[in-house]
Amino acid sequence: MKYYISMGSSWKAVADDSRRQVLLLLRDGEKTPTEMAKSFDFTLPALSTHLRVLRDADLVRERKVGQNRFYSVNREKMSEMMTFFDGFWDEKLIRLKHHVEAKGKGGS
Amino acid sequence: MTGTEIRKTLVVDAPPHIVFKALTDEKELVKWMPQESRIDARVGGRFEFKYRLGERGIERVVEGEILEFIPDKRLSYSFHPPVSNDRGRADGPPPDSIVTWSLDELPDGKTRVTLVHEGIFGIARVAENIWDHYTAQLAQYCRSSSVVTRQRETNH
Repeated sequence: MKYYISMGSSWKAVADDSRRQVLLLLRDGEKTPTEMAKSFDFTLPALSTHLRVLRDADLVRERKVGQNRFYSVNREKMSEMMTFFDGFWDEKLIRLKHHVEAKGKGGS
Repeated sequence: MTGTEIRKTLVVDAPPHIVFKALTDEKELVKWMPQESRIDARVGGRFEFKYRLGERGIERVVEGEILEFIPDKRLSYSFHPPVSNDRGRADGPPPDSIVTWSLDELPDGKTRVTLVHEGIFGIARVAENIWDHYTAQLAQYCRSSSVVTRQRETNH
């Protein structure tokens, strides 16, 4: 059940337009906050808040090189979320099948 | 399961209209999908589904907007957690994940149900979807304006 809790934090983390824009920007490869700020209207403090939320949700990774911090998308976490929805839909589709088949036989 | 898209197909022993009703009717939805549902079943209508997940019944709310509504054939909606940013929804369509249900009528009153859930992180496919939307609109616009142009040509 820990699984649902961790999924909740990533689901919430991507519930924000700005954070999804950050993920979109990082899709092409790792970037520093300064590089990212050029592509957005964000101030650096706002951007670092978004990066912290994404990092806490384990959706982005941080790499320090000297003074610089590089951020990249955590692909493993993303595939975990895909696995979650995969199982979610499997369960719902089975329930849908049972429901409509019972309904059809009941002569609705 | 490839990239950011989930695609599933199954055959159910019920006709398309029964399946479509199960996908779009508040009272039917709670029998198999969320624990609570509110849905304004039309293109542009919004919905809210409440799920209680796992043994501990953790509540998750999902909401979205109906993008396509073709009775007994196709239903597509954006699917995302409640938007919680400062700017709300005023900025136009956020890069949501999109759920599409397609129903194909089979012999003997059966239906092939295809589910596609794409753009789960709002990072892939979605940009393409938006462009598909605009290019389709552009194509439509070009077609209708070329009809107008041709009419003008023939009129003069």
